[in-house]
Amino acid sequence: MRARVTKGSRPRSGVWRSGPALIGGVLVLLMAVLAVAGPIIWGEAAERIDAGAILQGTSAAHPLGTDNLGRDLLARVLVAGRYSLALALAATLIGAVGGILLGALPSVLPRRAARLVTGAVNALVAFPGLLLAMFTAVVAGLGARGAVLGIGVAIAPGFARLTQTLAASVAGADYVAAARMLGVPRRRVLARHILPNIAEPLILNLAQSLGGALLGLAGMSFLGLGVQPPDFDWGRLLFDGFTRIYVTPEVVLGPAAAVALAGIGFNLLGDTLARAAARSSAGQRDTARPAPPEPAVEPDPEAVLEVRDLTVSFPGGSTPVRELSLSVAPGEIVGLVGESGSGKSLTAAAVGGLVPYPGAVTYGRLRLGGADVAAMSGKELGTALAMVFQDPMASLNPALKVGGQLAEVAIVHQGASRADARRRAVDRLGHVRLPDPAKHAAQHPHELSGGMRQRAVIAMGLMGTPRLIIADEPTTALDVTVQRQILRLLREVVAETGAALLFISHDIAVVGELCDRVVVMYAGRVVEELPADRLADGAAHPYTRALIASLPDLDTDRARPLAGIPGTQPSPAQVGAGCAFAGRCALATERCHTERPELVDHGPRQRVACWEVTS
Amino acid sequence: MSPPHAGRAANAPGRTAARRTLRTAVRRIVRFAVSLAVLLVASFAMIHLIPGDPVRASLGPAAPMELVEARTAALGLDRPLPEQFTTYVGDILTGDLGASFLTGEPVGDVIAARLPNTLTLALLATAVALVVAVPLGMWAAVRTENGRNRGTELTFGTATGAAVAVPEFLYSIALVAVLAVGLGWFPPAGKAGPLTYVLPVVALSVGPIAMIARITRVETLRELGTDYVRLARAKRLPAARLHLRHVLPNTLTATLTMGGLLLTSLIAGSVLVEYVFAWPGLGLKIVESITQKDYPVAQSVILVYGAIVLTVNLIVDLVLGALDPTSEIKEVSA
Amino acid sequence: MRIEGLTVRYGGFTAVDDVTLEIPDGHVVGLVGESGSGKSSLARAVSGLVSYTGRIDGAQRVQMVFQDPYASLDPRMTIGETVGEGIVKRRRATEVPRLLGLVHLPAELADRYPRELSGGQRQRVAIARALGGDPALLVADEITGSLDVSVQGAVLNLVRGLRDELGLSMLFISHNLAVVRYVADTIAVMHHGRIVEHGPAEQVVEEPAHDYTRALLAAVPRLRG
Repeated sequence: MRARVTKGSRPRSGVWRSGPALIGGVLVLLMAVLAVAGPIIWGEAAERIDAGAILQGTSAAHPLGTDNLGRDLLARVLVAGRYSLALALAATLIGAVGGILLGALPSVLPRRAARLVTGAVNALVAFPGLLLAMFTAVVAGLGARGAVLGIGVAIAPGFARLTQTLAASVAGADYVAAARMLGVPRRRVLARHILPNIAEPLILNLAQSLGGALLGLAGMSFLGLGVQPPDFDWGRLLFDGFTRIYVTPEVVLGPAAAVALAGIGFNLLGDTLARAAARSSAGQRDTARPAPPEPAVEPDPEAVLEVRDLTVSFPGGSTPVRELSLSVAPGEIVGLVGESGSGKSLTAAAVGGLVPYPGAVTYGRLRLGGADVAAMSGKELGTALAMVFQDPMASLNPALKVGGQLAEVAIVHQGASRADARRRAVDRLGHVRLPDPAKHAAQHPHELSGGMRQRAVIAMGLMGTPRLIIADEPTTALDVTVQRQILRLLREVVAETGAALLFISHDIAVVGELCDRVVVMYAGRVVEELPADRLADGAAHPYTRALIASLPDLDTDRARPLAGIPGTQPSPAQVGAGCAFAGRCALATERCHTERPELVDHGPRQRVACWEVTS
Repeated sequence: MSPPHAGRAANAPGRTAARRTLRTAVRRIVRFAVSLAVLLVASFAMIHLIPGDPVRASLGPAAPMELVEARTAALGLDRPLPEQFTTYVGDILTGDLGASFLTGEPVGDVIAARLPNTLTLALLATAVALVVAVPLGMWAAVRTENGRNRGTELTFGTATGAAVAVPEFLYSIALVAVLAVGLGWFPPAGKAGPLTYVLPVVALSVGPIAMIARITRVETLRELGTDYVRLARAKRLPAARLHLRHVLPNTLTATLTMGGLLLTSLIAGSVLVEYVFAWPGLGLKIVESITQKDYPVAQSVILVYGAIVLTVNLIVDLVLGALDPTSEIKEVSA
Repeated sequence: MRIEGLTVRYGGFTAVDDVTLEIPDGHVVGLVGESGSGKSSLARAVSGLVSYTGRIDGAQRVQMVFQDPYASLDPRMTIGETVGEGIVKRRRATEVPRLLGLVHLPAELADRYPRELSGGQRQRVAIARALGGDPALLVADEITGSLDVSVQGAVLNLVRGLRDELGLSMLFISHNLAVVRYVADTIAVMHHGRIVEHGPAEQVVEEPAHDYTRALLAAVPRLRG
């Protein structure tokens, strides 16, 4: 027995307990404490002039040396924190208020003026902040006031742009359209919908800008364009120290470290806040390792695909696929049908070896074309298995030409020359009835329509010699008339190549029309298997029957209400001990809730997992 | 907003796509021209926005009244504003950027002598940043895909987060203190020979490396999650081919956009680095002119800086528009 | 209500091309078409969300229900606040439970947030919000497009029930002909921005007059047997 098991991840601790968050939090806290307490504790020492200790380097009395009046530099660095942070705060507030006003302006101005403001903001964002800051500082005069104004002006365009983008995206939301239709006044839409939904990212940006402002001000002071004596901030101390760097380099250490630590602290904290905001909706995950599956029965030599006891689980106890068994004969078209969350797509992914980390896959047996998948080389798998996904717009690489994407399987796995591979690609494209295949092979995917792209993806699967084609909702994103063409093409491909097709869909009508056999999944398990032509009146499982009944078709009696299924499918983490469908089933008895029915034979070529039907 | 519109755009044949590229290019050039005009007005306005008399401010309180008046007349600052503006624009169009208050040296000459030094630094730093950061970011993405190797993710996040947060002048100071003054491996300042380039380029590129590496990682992670990469994996392509052929090209748009933006911020960042290394570039000149209140020089240097930034942005936009076959589609459907 | 010569353009692209359509009181008009046919643009024009040329008569109090129940509810507002949006304050306390009752949702849900509800429940909330605007016409744009089949049936039953109980006029848009046939009194078929056929539901499905309608009908998947 072989089982591919990926490693379980460490428990995902809260964002706040991670290293960077801790470092950032501690640093910012230290800065805050320093700003409050620094001048109180070291204020006197920072101003004490000592004519006997001028321009000294490191000593026991003065760890970071002294300045040109013999004042202790360590004390001065600790005291300068308050002024540095206060200036940064002032600059950030100026920038934020100005920027948010500028960004909100277009939404109240007439269209022409609004476009002018938007254009101006776009132009300003392109300019480096330092240039804007210097320009403003020149105009406002050298000194702390000019520097603060300058940095504020430098920050503002970013805020303006962010406000604009956020407001535009929220204003375009369906819920705002709904509110407008209900006659909710514009002011109220702004207050109830737009502001609350953009406030969070703006506050986040505020935290990050504070760090930027601090560094910007330090830079200005370091250039001599900011704080002027007798005032001092970290940048000014750096300015003074830098002239002595050849003699006593240690004097720049204090202010440099202070600026660096403050910058790092604010940045890490900002990152953390951003991550916490992004993750607030996502759930927590814990470790779980799947139990090893039971030993399996004899292999079926005939089957193209044989799956026994396939389980896919994720940390946190979520098990979307549970002990699933499935086999597909050569040339057979098998439909795997189920609603969202039934585990059908993960089953396909597991067969293709594409379950994303940290998902863990275990199985008793997984054989493709008579060989164990785990023992197959990439070359064998790459040519024997073809996959088609739902969205043809996303299935082709936008940066590469269609022909090249097809050709690479032949080049990589079959050692074909570039020219041979290309000829083969054009041939395959013609095979899937793509008009003018040579022209389309030389085009990029975006030049093809959705239906044409899906044909190209199918052609890609035909570059090898596929034994099995797995098509995961290949027609869901397509219009019905195009869907019809693709279904016909899939049928032709199966007839021609003798490959089997595993067709995954939520649409039981499509599956019933295309497939030979249908496998119905519910909450990670197969609940029924039956020939497709028996779906309409031979389905036995209450879920299958309800699914068919709730599907309106062109003959549905319009006078009667449509059937539906009350309740919802249990989530992959909450499947209980009994039948997963019991909670929604009209036939359910006590036994259904406590004991799970196995999939057992029920008439010719049909198997059902239901106590009420089989016993 | 309208699905039919986006759908039509995706199906558009190549001809209309080319026309759309052209239209976008024209729009960008117009935007560039407008920005340039705004910049011109702003640089002209600068000298007039300064509170008090700029000539008096730069010559100092001790300068005799006659000198101030003579200098004011020579600069044309006593004429009516509209006339001054037309003269200013006319001079600039003919390549005359004015002369220094202090030395009388033509500003055009100063810029011509110093601009190449600044551009060399900025271009070298951009090149170094891209060469180091793109592989680094891709490596980090591949290693940390879907939350595996949390240790690497944390280290990468912390290291790049910290590196981004430290400004270039601190790197410069640290490099001078340790490698130049302390160990004596590199010259501490000036521009003479290849060795003098090392420290300024390193100081300028550390931050951008961290930033581009982060962006490359995010972009690569997004690419790794796409259906076409899943499909390429289903085809069992070798890892190198998967990453270099399928993932890398799609991350380049974002990376190069960032690279272009960084080049402009590097040109600005060079102000501080040039100051530390006494590098004879435009950045050092701008600082000198502002502290010495040599306004004509400051005015023209800021104008030139701004024009360079706008030009670089325009080139990046145009090149990306031509390179990326899907960029206009993204724009339409966005 | 009557739409006459309605045209919607985006730049150089004509999404809706000179459409004339009548929606009699208390009737459900179904609008089918494939992606890019212009049916959503028509819905947005009728709802006043995009600019158009032509005439729309009697379109006071139009409310719309959108396709994506995850994007159409403000994540920061409770269900009660959402449903009560279009209602004057003093009547909200009585109206919200009544509206929730109309869409078969328990009144206790009023204090919950959208993230706590399933897709089908959210879509009912969106319908309740629209009903709160006392609509003369309800525009339903692919409202079951992102729902599972087992949930879709209940929403469709609800839509039909609302027409019978409240005499609500409705423009019901879907790409799914079988769904439209089930809820609509008349069906209009849209293709390339034009309405190519409009008639009683049974007639359009059983004796289609236009080639495109026939092609659509032939493409509808059916169970064998």
